[in-house]
Amino acid sequence: MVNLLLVSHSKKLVDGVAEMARQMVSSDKVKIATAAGVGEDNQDLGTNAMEIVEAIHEIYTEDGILVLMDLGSAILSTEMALEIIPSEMKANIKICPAPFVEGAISAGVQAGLGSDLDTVYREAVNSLKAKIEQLGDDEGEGIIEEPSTETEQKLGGETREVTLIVPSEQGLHARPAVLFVQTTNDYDATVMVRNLTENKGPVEANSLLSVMLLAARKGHEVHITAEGPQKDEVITALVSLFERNFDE
Amino acid sequence: MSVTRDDVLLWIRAYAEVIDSNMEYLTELDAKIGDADHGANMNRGFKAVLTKLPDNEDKDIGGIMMAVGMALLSKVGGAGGPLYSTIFIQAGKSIDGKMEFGLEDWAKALEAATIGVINLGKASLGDKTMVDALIPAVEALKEASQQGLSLREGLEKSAKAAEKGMIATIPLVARKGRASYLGERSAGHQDPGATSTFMLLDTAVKVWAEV
Ligand SMILES: Nc1ncnc2c1ncn2[C@@H]1O[C@H](COP(=O)(O)OP(=O)(O)OP(=O)(O)O)[C@@H](O)[C@H]1O
Ligand SMILES: [Mg+2]
Repeated sequence: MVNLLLVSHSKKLVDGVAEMARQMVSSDKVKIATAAGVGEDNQDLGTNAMEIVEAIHEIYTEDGILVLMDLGSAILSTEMALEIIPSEMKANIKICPAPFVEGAISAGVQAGLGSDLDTVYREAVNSLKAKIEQLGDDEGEGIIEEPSTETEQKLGGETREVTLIVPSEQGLHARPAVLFVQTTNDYDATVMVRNLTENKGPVEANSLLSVMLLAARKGHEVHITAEGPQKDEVITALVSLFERNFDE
Repeated sequence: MSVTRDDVLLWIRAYAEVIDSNMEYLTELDAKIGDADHGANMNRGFKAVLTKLPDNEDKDIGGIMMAVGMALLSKVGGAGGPLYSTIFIQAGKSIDGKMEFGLEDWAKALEAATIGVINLGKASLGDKTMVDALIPAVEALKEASQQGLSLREGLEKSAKAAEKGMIATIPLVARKGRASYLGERSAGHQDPGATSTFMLLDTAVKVWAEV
């Protein structure tokens, strides 16, 4: 499991954000450490690179750590801390530019799904998009990224595909989205999904946030493609998941 | 003519005093374009340095400067923490193993320190940060060293250059650090970090007057 480190100037802020993130984490295996404040009982506003170093040692595993920070010296102190820790550890730590609150929650959820560090990082960075979309900001239009050439290439090989109707009341959101992503993650295959009804996507099906941003509601048609050694198995499992209406 | 280990220890102690007596001034500057803590941050940091100094006095100059950097790391709280820590650690690495140094060594040390600050904070000249005091100071030192000037002259020129750089931050709009959140409103005020950096180099001139 990827663990999280939250760095802030304020002890109160970091405790609050950690509490919010823990509430959302589906696995108690994700550790969330904090480093915040300076002076007596860390009650003054500020950051401390040595405390960050200690927090890293406390939660480090080879699965890696995603670090989220508020601003200014929180960033500088984190970078300084990474200069101090052994380089083999540093290789498994990513500093993330995501907004602090949204990023911590997205990262926590994604880490809880057992995703790797790069995926958790990307989820966190994209977390602002969900908010932009919810507020109907123009900037948020078309926020689902064009598939990168890399993912297109990944799908260049032999693929399996299927079009399904979303059966669940909640659409492809909340619990159904989590089950959808978990099922995809269980197989060795690259799965892409598109909302045909709304013409959104394709997005990678291993990203909870991307899947939710497809805004696939009950009755929408989604198009799923799979490529890789277990492309058949994953499609079968997903079809079954839809047929069972996500076990609701 | 050279700066000895005792000179360096004296410089650090004197700078801690300068920070202590200018704490309110630095905080006032930071109140205008930041969060009014630069004086308190620096003072907390150099108080910690003073308590750590006795354990490190028998190291060479590089070792002492690196110990100062490490002490600053956990105590300052603001951006000055990692940045001043970098100044002392990088300068210390550059003069590592020495019991005394001359103008050329000092020019190299301050250059290494400045590169460290730029690598960490990503500020360029004109972003209204301590870098605006550091870069001219390094250039003045290198020039003095190339011209074969005395250590004393080199130090004086570097402090003068830092002072000019500090004053030149006044009209600038901040592009790095907390002041950058103010945008245009940051113009018209002197940068606190450039000010404390000038004080560091100015203290060297005063303390190393006899070298
Ligand atoms: N990225 C940077 N690069 C170089 N210098 C910087 C940078 N950010 C801030 N500074 C310097 O630090 C000074 C402010 O130091 P201070 O100790 O007040 O930290 P702060 O800005 O309050 O930190 P924080 O980021 O925690 O709010 C600025 O005046 C500026 O000279
Ligand atoms: Mg400040």
